[in-house]
Amino acid sequence: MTGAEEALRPVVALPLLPRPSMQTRSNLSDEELLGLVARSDDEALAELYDRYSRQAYGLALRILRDEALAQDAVQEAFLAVWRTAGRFLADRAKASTWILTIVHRRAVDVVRREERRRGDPLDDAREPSGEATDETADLRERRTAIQAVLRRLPDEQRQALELAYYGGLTQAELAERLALPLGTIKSRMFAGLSKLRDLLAEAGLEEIVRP
Amino acid sequence: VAALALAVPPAEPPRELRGRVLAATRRRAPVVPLRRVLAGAVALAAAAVLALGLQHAFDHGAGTRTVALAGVRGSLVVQSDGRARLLVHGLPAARPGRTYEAWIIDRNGAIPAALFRGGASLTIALLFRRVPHGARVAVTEERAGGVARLRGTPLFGTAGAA
Repeated sequence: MTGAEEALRPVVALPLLPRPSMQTRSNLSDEELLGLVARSDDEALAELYDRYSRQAYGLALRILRDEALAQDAVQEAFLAVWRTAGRFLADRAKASTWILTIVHRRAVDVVRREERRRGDPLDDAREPSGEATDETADLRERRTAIQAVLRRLPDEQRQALELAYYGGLTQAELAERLALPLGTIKSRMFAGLSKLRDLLAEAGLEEIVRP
Repeated sequence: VAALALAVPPAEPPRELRGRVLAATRRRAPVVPLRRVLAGAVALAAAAVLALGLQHAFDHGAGTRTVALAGVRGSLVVQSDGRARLLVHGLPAARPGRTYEAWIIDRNGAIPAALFRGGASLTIALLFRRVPHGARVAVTEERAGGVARLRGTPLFGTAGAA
């Protein structure tokens, strides 16, 4: 970058407080990084992005099945993390779950905004195919454990939960989609959620959270 | 059911998404203390003076081409290596929650090239991609943070190919 370009870039005010070095940031926990993000530390956000963008993009792709829309959702989600990091409560959830919950919410917002996929078949969701070479061992272990938990749910309960979560469908929409009475959907969802909570707790995994 | 977020295999996002996210956060600091705002204003004024001083040299470098904009008063200045910036006079600030987004458009389609807010007597927007010969540059108004794909009708753009 030339000096002229550098001079024309928007000026970003320097922080008044000392900040950790990049190397230090890479050693910080997710929760500590969120604390720095709440103090407008964009390099802390960059570190969180590096840790969770692959999982976030995989989730957004699963929900949206469109690369451009998934990118929009991930971008909006990390901007929401930037704006709302001060509201994160470390005693309620892991930071990774909080971030991915925001990604999910944004992706579902986009689904609803775009009004797409409503007529798509239910069972042909394309799984993200990206390599996960850089993901942390913690994420990998948690995914394996959660997939195992999901396999232990009765099929109809797992189907209802997955359609609601990845499809962004309300219970009424789910009932219409599956051509089942709303009461049946409600009871499946209730039973599925209850069983999922129990199985997650049994596996030592965390509970449902809301950002 | 937040745990379901972790059940999905990860996927590698495009490399430029990281830059888009971080660039957007720099324009949207959550809370900026007043002292920092004042420090930023002083630095901004100094940078503006420097920018004006350097602008002449930038505009008159060898191989630099200038294309007028249609729809607004301004121009696109492209250096011989393709690096470019938009100069727009009297561009009103983007509406709250919105941003201007510049696009480079050629036979392969449109790609995002800059986000900016306007509102200054002279808006200078550096494009973060190089403009190839024969391409056009257009500007749309998008939601804050910008979008990855051009969908709307441009508000203004180059009158001809760059």
